[in-house]
Amino acid sequence: MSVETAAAPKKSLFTPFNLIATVILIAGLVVTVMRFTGGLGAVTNLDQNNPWGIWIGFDLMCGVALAAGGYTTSAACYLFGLKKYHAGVRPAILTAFLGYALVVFALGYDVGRPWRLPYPIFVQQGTTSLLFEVGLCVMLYLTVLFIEFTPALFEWLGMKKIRNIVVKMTLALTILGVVLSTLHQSSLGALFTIAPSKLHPLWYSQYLPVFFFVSSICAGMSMVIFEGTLSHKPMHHLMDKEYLDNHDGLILGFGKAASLVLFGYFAIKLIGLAYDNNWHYLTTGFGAWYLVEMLGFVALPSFLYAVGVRDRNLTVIRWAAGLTVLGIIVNRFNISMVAFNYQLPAAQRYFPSWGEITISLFVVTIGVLVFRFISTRMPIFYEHPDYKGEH
Amino acid sequence: MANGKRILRLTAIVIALVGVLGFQLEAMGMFEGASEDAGRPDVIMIDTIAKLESLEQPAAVFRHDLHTKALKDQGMSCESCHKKDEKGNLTLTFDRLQDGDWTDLSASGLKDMYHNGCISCHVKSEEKGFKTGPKAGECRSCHQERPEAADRVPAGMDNMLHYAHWNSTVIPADKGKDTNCGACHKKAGEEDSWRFSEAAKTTPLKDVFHSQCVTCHESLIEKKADRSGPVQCAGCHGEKETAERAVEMAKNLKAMGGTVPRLPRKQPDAVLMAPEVKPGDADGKPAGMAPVAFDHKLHEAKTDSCLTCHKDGVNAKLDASYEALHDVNDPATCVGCHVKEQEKPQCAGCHAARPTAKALSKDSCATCHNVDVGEKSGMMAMMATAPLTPATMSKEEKQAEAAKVIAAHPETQAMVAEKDIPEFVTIGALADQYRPSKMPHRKIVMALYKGMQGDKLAAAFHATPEAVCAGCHHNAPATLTPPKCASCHGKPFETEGKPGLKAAYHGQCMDCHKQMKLEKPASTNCVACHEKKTN
Amino acid sequence: MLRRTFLGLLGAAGASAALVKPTQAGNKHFGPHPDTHGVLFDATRCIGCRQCELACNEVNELPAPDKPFDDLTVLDTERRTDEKTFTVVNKYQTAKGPVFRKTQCNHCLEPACASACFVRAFKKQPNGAVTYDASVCVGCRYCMVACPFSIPAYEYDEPLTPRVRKCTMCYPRLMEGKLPGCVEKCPKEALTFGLRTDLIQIARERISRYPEKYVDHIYGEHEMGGTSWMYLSGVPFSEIGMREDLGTASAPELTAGPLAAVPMVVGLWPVLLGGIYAVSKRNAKVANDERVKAVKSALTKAGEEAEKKLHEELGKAEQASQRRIEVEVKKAVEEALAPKEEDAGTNEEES
Repeated sequence: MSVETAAAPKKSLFTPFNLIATVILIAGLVVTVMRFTGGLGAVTNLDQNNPWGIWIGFDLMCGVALAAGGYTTSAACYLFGLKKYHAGVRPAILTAFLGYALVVFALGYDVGRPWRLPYPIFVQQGTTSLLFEVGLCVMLYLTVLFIEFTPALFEWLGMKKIRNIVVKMTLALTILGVVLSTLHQSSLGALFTIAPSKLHPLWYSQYLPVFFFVSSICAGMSMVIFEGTLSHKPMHHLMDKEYLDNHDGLILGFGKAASLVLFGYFAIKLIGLAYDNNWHYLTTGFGAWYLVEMLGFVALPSFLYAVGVRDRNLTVIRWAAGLTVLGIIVNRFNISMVAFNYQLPAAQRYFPSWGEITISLFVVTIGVLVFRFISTRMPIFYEHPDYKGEH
Repeated sequence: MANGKRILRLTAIVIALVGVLGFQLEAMGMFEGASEDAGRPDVIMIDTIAKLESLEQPAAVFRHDLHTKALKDQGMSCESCHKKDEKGNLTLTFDRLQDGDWTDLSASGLKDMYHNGCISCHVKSEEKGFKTGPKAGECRSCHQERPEAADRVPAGMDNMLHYAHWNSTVIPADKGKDTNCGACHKKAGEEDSWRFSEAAKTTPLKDVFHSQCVTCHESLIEKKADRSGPVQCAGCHGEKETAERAVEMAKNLKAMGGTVPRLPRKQPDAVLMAPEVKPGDADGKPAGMAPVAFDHKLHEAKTDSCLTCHKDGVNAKLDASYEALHDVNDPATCVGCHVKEQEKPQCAGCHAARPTAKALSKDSCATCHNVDVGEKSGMMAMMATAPLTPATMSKEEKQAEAAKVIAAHPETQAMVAEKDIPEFVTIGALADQYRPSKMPHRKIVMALYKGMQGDKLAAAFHATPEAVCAGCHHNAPATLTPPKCASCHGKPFETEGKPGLKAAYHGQCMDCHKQMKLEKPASTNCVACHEKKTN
Repeated sequence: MLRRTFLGLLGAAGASAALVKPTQAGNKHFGPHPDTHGVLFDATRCIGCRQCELACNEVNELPAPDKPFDDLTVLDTERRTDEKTFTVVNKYQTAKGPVFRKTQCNHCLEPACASACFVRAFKKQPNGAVTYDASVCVGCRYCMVACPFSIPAYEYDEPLTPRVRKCTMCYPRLMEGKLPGCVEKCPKEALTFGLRTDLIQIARERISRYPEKYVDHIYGEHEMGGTSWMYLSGVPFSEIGMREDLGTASAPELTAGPLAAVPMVVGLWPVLLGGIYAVSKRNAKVANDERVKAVKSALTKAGEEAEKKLHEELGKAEQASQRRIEVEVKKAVEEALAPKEEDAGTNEEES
């Protein structure tokens, strides 16, 4: 298949998407200036009781969970030997790399002194802290993802020799990626084990690290399906035969796996509930919301995935993927903002400010734009002709 | 989509399953936390069958007052459920006479008796158009898995309530007497609380009281007497009702001048409390503590009930062990009750600051143990001496001896002469941000004395007029020229229990004000006691 | 994919689940530093005069508050510490009348903030104070999440140099041998400063000497693993705004489980995943070999069959040609014999 894109008509830059993106970018820049001249208080609704808001709850926690597609796809392809996923690896790695890079970028807004972000690793190590664990593993994993992304870059730049060296390291990088992902995905959950008095009993558990890790697997696979669906139409002209042929198989395969893992996640959450004997909380208001999260965003997508796979119905699987992605966001929001500080009266609870929402949108928009930039220029959705069949 | 219908159907099945599961769990009570309803006094658990065999269903919950009220509304009497025995007294068991009548019935017989008795009445009430209880088939409405707890205030007879009875015209006097004790008490001259009666040794106490009190009240109501007592559970055991009665009693008491008239049971006025000396002990020499002259008449008026001290009944011998009379924490003992008295605001100013244990110091023994100690003083003042030998004296002799000592008790606190009390004391040892404080010393001392006027307890234990000074000038001999506070109080945190000088000053004054419930000067109003320095 | 993934994940989940509960290092028990000091707050002595707040403000050179310290109406609302206020006194209405309680950092023996900080900005000093080092703080605010008493406050209005702010137990003053500011200023000695072990003794003594006055519990003796700042009260602690459901496990104990799992994952995962890779590669190889073998045997079989058929066909062809030769020969013989009879008929002419 020819590398050149089919002679596409010259598109106008002023598409609706571009216009909206520009507005968000400008708003984001304005808020950035406000943040660094007026401090966090000028831009956020954070206070002394609620130190973490959506910049942590969404940008960091959802961002990391949804970028888990990188390690799940590369593990499926290179460790479990399932060659049919090969075409999906590069888009997944790119999504993951951009996801993690943006997490670090967003963190630059949230922490008080972003230029000191390297301190925990290079200046003074707080090894008793699970946040140290998260920071170290995210930093290392970002490096791994970058390295895993570089073959596409080198192919685009025509640097054959170094590209081949990097490709040889794929197996090691994949294993390292899974190890680091396990550590930081679970540590994000473990962050909250330090505050049992502040997290509602239905969400607090000593098993939080396990819950976060398992749900990240579902998140990753669902995000690959979801992002694949979103990019299918706009990037169709770039996708090569291998990608298109295997696209449906990838969705079915991931759908099967996601169904099972979601079921397993539901089971271990149930076990956690029984272990702590928290049944009586289910009849409270928080209990109702917990049931909505469990039944509507875990059990239901698991079921829908199974049905979709059995009937080979890709639409159902895609909807299930969207539901799962939403469910991950709901879960991370619950743990970091809804069930956190549940014991405080309503007047002291947190709700995001417009500034915070703007920056979160800003970060996501940058991600989409960079993704579009890279995937329209570098061999992400297709194989570079010089390296065909070498994977 | 092609399979849309199937998916919808399957989803509906799943939702239905979850719904059923949830309903089942809820019915099993797995979602319920502990019931937090306030208990009612009239909740009775019917578990008669439990005496025969293990219960199949949980005990049935029965709200007695609810039923008596319902019966009253329908114009029915207690006899709807309670039979009357040969003497015409109401029995307290349901639908059967006492005295082992019920043991003839088997478990299923009892079950039928209760079911038929209760449900038939419910059905009849419903036919008449009244709100009624559960009927056949509504098993769990009565046999509740998690029943509400009964919350009963213990009912009791105190002096005031007893007065209401022995002074009542509704209860007729005994034949040939002008008292009506025989209406409740069996043996004349040995009247005592029903807790210590023969019946109480075999029958549960609640049955004893209910059959005594409730049946009498019930019969008076039947006879349409002017007044009667409560027949509802809540009347004696309900928090609200008992509080209301307490208020009414207090009003009546005040109207009578504050003291309940003395019970006409021929109690002694004065009692000589001496240790039991067995024949052959100490060869007739005086040994041990000096006897105590106990003012029984005074103490009768000071307690709510005879049982406060006569814990085993007035007919029983009083426990004269050391602990029974000297336990600081037990208001039923002499020392414990005196300590409780010290909690009054006019006493607490000084006494709250003293450790509880100090109430039983060696210095206070002689205040009570002082019968015929002669001219001895100091530690010897409490020891027994010749020629008093209580073992050989008759009751009248002992009472006379005790009365003699009691008559010598001071009526009121002896005061230090006003001229000997400094009028103002200037406290300037620590003046830093504030000017020295000019303390109205005499005014404070006179106020303290005023609070002790007419109080015989204070007069007895504050051995000398200067003893009152020791309330503030503590941990030093009682004298008219006590040492400065700074003699002992210096830097803070050197010894626990001895604050630094600043805290000593502030603590002494502020704590006394707080205990005596004085609102002025407020502890936080610094300038009320010392002005702020301007420069 | 199904089975392998599932088994792999099951193994992973099982390993991590098994490591949830922290394992004790034998029977070792680490107690606090013997020189740990603390402060005992006696709620029965506090009169709510706010002199301690004033002293703290002066000693730490904090900005002046909106309402002066002698304004006691602020006690009508429950306040908390913030970036300009290291300690507050709150008023609570109880059955025994109004009771006042001073709030500040409790200087826990195993501080949650120190455990949570990923740059070790918090340190539990040998003398008991928990101090903060602003020179390494990144401003992540995890310490605020971790503190069970919600004490650390943040300078949200500082754009470039925001700090976490909390009571320091006047560490610099302690180093000079002075008392903490609040302790020194209190007119009622509601705050007692000393060695933590001594303070516990003192608290027990007070409770036993005045049993009617105190609730028989020293708050902070064991809560969250024990704190240096302890409380005595005449009314239940929950009535003066103190949480009684915090438990006695210190924060580091709570995170010890997940942290303990980290080295195990680092060691085991590569083995597990390498194993999966090896197994899947072997499966692929075996599948490939089988395929090659199957193709080979199919080819061989086809070749043999072709041979046989050829042989048959050749035989048949041989036979066919033989028969044809015979037929031709017979024909030729017949033809040769037929002209002889014709010749006999026409034989006179010729001589």
